[in-house]
Amino acid sequence: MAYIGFLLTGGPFDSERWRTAYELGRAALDAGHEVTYFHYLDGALVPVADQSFPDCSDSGLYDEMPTAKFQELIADGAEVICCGLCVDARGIDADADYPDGVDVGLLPDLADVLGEADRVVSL
Amino acid sequence: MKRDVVVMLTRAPYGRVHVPEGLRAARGVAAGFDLHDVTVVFTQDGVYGAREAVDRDALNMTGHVADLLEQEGTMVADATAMEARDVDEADIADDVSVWSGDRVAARIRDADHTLDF
Repeated sequence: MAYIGFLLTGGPFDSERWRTAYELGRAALDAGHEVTYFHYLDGALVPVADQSFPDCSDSGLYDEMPTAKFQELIADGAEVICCGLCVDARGIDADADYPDGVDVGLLPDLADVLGEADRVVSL
Repeated sequence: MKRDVVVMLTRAPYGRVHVPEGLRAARGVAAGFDLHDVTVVFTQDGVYGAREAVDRDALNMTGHVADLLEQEGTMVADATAMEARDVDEADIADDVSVWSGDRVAARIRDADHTLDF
């Protein structure tokens, strides 16, 4: 088993970096690997609960909300940490706005991921 | 475990937050429990951020650079990216070393992890 870390700086509804991070993490979990995400900058917006995209959510880019996909990863064992400074800067109330399983941390947590992971993917 | 980490700054310093935020991450991981060896590489449009003329205070770079250097982190600019953008070595800040593109590539190859900003 390998330990895969992700640094995700891309936000939702802007680029599809979150989706790439999701798919890579999904594949890693399915193969039995350990996965940790560190969400930085607008990446902190990816797991925010209750996302919806009215009139566009039946197909294409917006048929699946980023938060829902990351909740799937958490349920399957992924660790998700959001940078606390980035959370505060974006007015996110972590207790109210993040679903269960999303943790708030700081850059030393990213340093720990770098120290322990076999591979780190930056997106 | 202590690691060799390269933080790549690829975006222009004005208009996006990625140069200062990449520096924030760099000094953050350099100061972590493992005290990783961190090299910040100004490359692609990021080389503009390595110039002496950049207003580091306005970009919130000053404190991050000071912390990074205190943790013995290093900053380098990619000469190949500089040449493509007509940025002369004389334009680069004194605390940034200029490395050839081959040397930068080797550093990236040899790193344990790279982080892109």
